[in-house]
Amino acid sequence: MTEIIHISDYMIMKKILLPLALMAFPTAAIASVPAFNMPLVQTKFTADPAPVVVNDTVYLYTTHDEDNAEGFLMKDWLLYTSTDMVNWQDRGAVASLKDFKWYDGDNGAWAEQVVYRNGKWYMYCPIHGHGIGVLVADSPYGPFKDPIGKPLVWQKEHWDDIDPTVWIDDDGQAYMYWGNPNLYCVKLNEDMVSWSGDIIKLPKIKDYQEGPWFYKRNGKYYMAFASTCCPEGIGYAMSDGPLGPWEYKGHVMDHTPRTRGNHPGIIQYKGKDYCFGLNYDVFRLSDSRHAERRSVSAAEMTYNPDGTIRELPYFLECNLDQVEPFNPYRTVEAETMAWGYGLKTVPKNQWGPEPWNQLVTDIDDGEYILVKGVDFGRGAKSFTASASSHLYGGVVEIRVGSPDGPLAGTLTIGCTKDEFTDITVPVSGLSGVRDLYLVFRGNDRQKRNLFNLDSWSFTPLPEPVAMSFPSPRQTEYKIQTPTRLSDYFTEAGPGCASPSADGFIGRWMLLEPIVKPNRSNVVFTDSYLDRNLDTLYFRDQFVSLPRRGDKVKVDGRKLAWHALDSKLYNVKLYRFAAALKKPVYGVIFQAATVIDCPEEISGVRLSAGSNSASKWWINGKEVLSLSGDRRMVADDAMSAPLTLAKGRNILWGSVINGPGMSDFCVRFVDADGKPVTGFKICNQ
Amino acid sequence: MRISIERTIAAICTLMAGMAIPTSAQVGRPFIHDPSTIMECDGKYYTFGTGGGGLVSADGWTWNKGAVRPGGGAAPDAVKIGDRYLVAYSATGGGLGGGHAGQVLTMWTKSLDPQSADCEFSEPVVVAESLDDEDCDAIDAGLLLDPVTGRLWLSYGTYFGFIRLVELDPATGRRVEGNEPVDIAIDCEATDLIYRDGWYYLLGTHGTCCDGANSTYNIVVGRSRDVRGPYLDNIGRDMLKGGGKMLLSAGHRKTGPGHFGRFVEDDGVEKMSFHYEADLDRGGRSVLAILPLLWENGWPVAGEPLREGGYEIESQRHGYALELAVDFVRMETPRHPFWIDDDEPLTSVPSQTLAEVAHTWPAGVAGVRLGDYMFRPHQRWSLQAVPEAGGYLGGPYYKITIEGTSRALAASSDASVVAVPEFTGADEQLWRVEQLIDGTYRIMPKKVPGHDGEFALISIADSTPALGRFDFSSDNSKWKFRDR
Repeated sequence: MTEIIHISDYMIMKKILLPLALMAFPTAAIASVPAFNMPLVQTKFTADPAPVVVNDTVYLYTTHDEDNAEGFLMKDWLLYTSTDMVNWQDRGAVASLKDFKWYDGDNGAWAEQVVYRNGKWYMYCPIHGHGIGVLVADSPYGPFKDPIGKPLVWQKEHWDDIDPTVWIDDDGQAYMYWGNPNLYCVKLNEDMVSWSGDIIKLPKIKDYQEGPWFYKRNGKYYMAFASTCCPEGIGYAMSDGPLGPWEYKGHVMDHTPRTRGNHPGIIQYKGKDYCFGLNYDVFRLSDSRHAERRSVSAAEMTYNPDGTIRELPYFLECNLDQVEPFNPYRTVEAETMAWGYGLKTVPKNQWGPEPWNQLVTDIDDGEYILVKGVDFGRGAKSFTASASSHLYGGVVEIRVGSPDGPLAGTLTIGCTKDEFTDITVPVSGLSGVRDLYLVFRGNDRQKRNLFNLDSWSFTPLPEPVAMSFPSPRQTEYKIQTPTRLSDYFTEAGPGCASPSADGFIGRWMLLEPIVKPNRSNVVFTDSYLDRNLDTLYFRDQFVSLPRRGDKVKVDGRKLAWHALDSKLYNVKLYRFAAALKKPVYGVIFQAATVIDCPEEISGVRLSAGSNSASKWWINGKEVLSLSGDRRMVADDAMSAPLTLAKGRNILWGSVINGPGMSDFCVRFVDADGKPVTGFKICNQ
Repeated sequence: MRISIERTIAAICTLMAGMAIPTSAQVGRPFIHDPSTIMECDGKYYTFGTGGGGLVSADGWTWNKGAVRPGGGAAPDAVKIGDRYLVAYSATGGGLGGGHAGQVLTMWTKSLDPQSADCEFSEPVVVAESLDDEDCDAIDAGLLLDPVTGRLWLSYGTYFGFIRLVELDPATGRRVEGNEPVDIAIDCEATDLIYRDGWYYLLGTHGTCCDGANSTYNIVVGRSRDVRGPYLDNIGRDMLKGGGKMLLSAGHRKTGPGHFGRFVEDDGVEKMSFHYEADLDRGGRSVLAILPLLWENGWPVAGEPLREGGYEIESQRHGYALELAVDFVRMETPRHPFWIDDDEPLTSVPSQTLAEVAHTWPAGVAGVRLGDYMFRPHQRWSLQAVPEAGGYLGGPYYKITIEGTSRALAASSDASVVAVPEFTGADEQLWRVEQLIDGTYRIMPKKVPGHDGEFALISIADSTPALGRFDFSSDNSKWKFRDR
């Protein structure tokens, strides 16, 4: 996120905040740890991503490697959903080998794909060595039932029948492709659970191994696939017709020893294209050896104008941006997360009305749930969690930005005797879009399996009641009292003047006001002033005196500098702006002058008062800040003792105001509080 | 796991025995009876007591035995005249001990420091006496060197008859030839005379002496335009008829204040010394005590010991409060506009807590300034004595931290104040806090890094505190500790 202020020819980056994670190319300048594009799910091992977009939600079906797998050990199929591509909600196991009555084994639940047609969800499941079956459900979460009681296809003479991929063409014709190492295809009937014609065996596509993914885009047909094992990359071919001929086009992701296997899933979601695949990157957090404990990753993908796909680097170096912010002001299932390494999910009640509802469990001290890009808006008031614990319980630390980031609140879960209890705590400092870390802590007696989490929610701060007085009219306000500049100021000739007998400094270069609307003067905290008054609007600001008539362009407005002497001890900026028919409310004034000393003067303080808040610099160094909503008061605040150099010193002030009459007074006092007058004030 | 009851009790007893002495009392072994006015000599403080000897302190806070006064007897007083000290005492302890024949004697010494060669007392001289049945018992000397006239006066006496006044020669310490005693008060003893701003004040001790926790001893005062009286109290009663305005009685677990002495520290900074008959926190022993001395409408008033706790520190210049220079964090509270009638029950809106705002403060050193008091966490300071840091006349060094944190007010080397993140006990984090005669306070750092001399916390602008010279005539030098 960058804040850029355009000023005529100068474009100055005020602040540059780069997203910590998910950079296309990690650079050492940002963080000491490179940010990797890690797999989407850490609470289980997932493989063979089969995403499908229905009604603004990504339904990501995957296969499931058991935690203790060495070779392939796969028994069921999982579902994760997301509306932003980085926070995924665990929906549990929606189907399993048990749903196929014609199969007795407890292994072999290989790469499935799910499509949606006519209100039903069809899952095409290979069972290794036993063909490809199909299941149907009325809801994406199941229950999935076998409508035909036998394999949909099974060419018993070989073990090629795996990895089905299904696509419904524009004319309503559905096709199912599958196969390893050969590619096969049938035309599915409209009922989606039977097919007509013969099984077509496609000519070999270069580098094709398995895991085909068939789809259509802009009139062209695509066949992505896992390319020749091993290690497998993701290759693809294109065709003008649904049955080929298929022309090999190259790689979406090249073979790389960084992952042994791969398996594509490609979707378009909310205007962007994504390629899903698999790797061992979660397993690599603990082990370097090989075992079939895989994880699904995703990457943003782009097409060339001719329809070919721009090759991606390996997943860890790819981009995956959050599509939209996450709303915390609703009940959020705790199993919704961008990162939850070390945690586990289990079904809350498989037989109940919400079979997809999971609990987060296996919560140990130091682990955390990360939900990225949570939009707290104006601010959150409190946090509620539904949790249960059996023994000592623990603590949820609500943090933002990082696992040891600022603490917004702490929720303590005691022994709830295994009952799910709602606990609410106040929170503070949560506003805007932040990465939310729910960090878990145990205690002396228990560090592991602290409690179970079902769901959580935030409540927002109440809206402030608007007063029915008219809000301050900023910038557009038309001044009603005719104001003559000469009532308050004289045009200063070039040269130097003396301070008043009391030391007040009246000769200034004043800039026509910069428009800076603000909600109210109560926002002028120290941080607000740092953000808004330190802004460089033009070159050499703070260090070089502008000349009479110099113009600067700020936000499209041309502002001129005036050389003036105030007739009073204070400088009435409101009247200055009013006389020139410039905005008087919701503005920032800049004032500059030269303090010319015959000798060095040390041990003096700058004493100022301003309406409203202001900052003051001498020779480019900030010496005084008056924060909060203020009125001009003589000697309201003083700088630390400072030294005025012999000769010229640039005194620069910036005064910000909302409603009210903007004004300031400034002088130097000595160590005894007496005004310093032994200098000249010059406007050139 | 079984816990032995005996061990628990023993542990609790040990804990209680080692509990800190409340900060309102002098520390060390300040045990004395009838202390004289405190004298300063070569950078140390001395007070003499009944029986001989007395206490000495290097800083004014920690007192131990070590003053030397020959002659025995009782209830001495002392005054500095020129470059030497005149010490007066009575030969007897008064009628309680025996008859009422008494003598008050004076003697000179150049130094009060027993180590000094100049600590040599002259031969004591009798300056006042009483016969066994006169209307007076010559004990309890009180000396006043009149700053207006240069004359030297001695008050003495007890409940047996009158308090009397005689004149002494400040050059010799002897009774002025031909001077006759004047009766100035009744119904008190252990008197002292002071002068301030055109008035002479007679301080007397009233009530029962020497009865430990049951001593009703208290300190009363009357004043007169003439040192010879009449001394009238606040409602015009003559002390010769028993008048007197009380300035201090028992409290804070100490009974029997008596034997007033005045110590002027600085313009606007005065202390009163006395003893308590019984300090219940120290086994009921008789102890030296020092409190601030205030002046209200021409009357001396005893100040209150400053209690540890949470405060607003209010500048007496404009009235803004000392605070960390951090963002003001708005409280989000439901608003009930006055023009809308609602029947919602009245609930208590909790104050802003430290937890809600502390994470917005800088981790390291924070600036300190003055601002509108809103009882917010960044404006609430905790005043705690630091026992091991010693003290000054009448008080210990304090640490001043933001309540609930260890951020400590500290003097910085550019003669301003900051809040350091952790209190370490360094001299620039130790504060001397003294009540002034008008009831406000001055606050002085033990040390300003890189600077010599005495500095006080002052307001140099409405919103800007700094360290500078203490000036009693300016409200810029004054502070209040408010508990609100």
